[in-house]
Amino acid sequence: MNKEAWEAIGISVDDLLNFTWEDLLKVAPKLAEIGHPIGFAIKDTFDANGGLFPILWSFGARVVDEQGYVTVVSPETRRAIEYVIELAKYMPPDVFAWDDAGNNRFILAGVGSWTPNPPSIWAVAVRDKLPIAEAIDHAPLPSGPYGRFRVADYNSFGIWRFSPNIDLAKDLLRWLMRPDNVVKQVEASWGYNQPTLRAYDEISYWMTRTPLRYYHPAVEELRPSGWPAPPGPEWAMAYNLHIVPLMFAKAVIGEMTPDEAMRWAETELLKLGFKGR
Amino acid sequence: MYKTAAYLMIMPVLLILLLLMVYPVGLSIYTSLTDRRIGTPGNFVGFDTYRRVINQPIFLRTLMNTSLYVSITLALKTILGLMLALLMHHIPVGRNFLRAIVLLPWVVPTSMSVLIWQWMFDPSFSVLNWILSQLGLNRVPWLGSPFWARLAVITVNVWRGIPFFSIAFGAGLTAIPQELYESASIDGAAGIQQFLRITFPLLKPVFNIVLLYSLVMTIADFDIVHILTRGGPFQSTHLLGTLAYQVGLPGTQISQGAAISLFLFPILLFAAFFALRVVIRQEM
Repeated sequence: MNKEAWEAIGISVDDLLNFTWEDLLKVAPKLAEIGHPIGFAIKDTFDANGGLFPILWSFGARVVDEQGYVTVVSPETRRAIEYVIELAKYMPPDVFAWDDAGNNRFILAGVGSWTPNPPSIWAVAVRDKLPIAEAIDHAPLPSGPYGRFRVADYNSFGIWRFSPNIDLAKDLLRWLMRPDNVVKQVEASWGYNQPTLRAYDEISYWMTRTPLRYYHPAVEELRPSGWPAPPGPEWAMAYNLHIVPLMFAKAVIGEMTPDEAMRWAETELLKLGFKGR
Repeated sequence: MYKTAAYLMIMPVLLILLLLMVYPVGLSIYTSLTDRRIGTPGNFVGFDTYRRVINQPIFLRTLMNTSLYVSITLALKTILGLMLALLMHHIPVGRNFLRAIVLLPWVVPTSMSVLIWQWMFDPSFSVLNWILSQLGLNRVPWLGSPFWARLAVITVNVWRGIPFFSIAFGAGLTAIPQELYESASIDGAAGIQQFLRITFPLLKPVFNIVLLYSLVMTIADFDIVHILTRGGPFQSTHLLGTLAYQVGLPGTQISQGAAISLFLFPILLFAAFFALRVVIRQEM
């Protein structure tokens, strides 16, 4: 977030600790009025998940349940879509064209006031000594009636079964995952790479950088995109074909009503192999 | 003896063709007939993967996008390339310099030039939108609406492709004997008649080869769409190549990716065979 833009409307970073999505909707017009709108991608791009899934989950919606049944058509999903339709009115129209770096440029250019993103925006601003660097801060995402969530997609290490050096590779992974080395990876990535295992909970990097102080301990529930859908090829396809961001985008631009958008998403998910009731 | 020596001499080239072309194509065909995913070997399933692919709405949308993209870009590159070739053919001085300038879009690496176009079409910082706003006009959502995004990728493809068409047509024009035009003028033929009765028929072999080559390259286009739009917005610019990549690699469905990329293979094979037959017949 651009804390100077928020301070101009009388809200501090600490105030956002108790923000709900409804609060964000109330302040969005004020931020847009002063020329510093909020924004996140509402189109078929990966970063869109970071803004849309927390809203879905906070309103109690689930796209696919734990058993792999499609549950996207629900009053909760409709409520989430209607919320985004309202919120999008105070975003620049560019959000429908942003790629994964669009929201980064939005904040770095000094235009945007808020976007859901890892600390890479802050890291680039500091690294490149941009004027906006001092104004960038981070706060937890808002909460909804069903909780406060953040998307935490994770990457995994793997060793090919056909590798002639499996034991050596395992040794390398053990070395990389030593707590003292994980600390170095977190520092080298300016806090962008966030370890997922509890053993690394005590990394102090977050407390040494004021803009990162709210990353630890995490205030939100961290979930991977698509949760609670079971991991597998079906969700890999749904994620890569951007079904959920497209569902929102179609409703927001008016191509479909929220109900039509939900049904469209349901059809697409069923065709990808998820189960229907 | 000479025959054996000849076969030995072409053996290295044949080996390279086998390794770099026949083997990958064969492996793709086999993969498309399995249900293989990245990390699993998969089982032979015949045409079931093709059936699954055809039943996905995004595939039919992509097929339509590809048809639209190919037909419009080919038509524009042909018309504009021919116009440029005719213009360069009739310029009395500086023709070689002009040819060098015209070739630039084709010579610059695609990824570099498309990155520049991406900046020009950027939703927030587009120089084109800045010019429009200075003229008092509305900004255009270049990559944010299906219509404008399609126009954007078509524009970039045509910009890149015109040089090849114009240089090829220009070479064809140079090969046409001038005496034909002189005698046509003596017989009272106007410019357009000379074009329709002399230039166009004699350029047909060049047309066929250029169109065939461009058809194959345009259908297989990947980098322009991948860099500019990643197939969006709303899957409106996905081509078979970009969809095959998205499904096969990040989506891990490598067999479906292979099926998508091979879908037009029989059609292209037929088109190539047909076009080459026409060319050979014309030369005879």
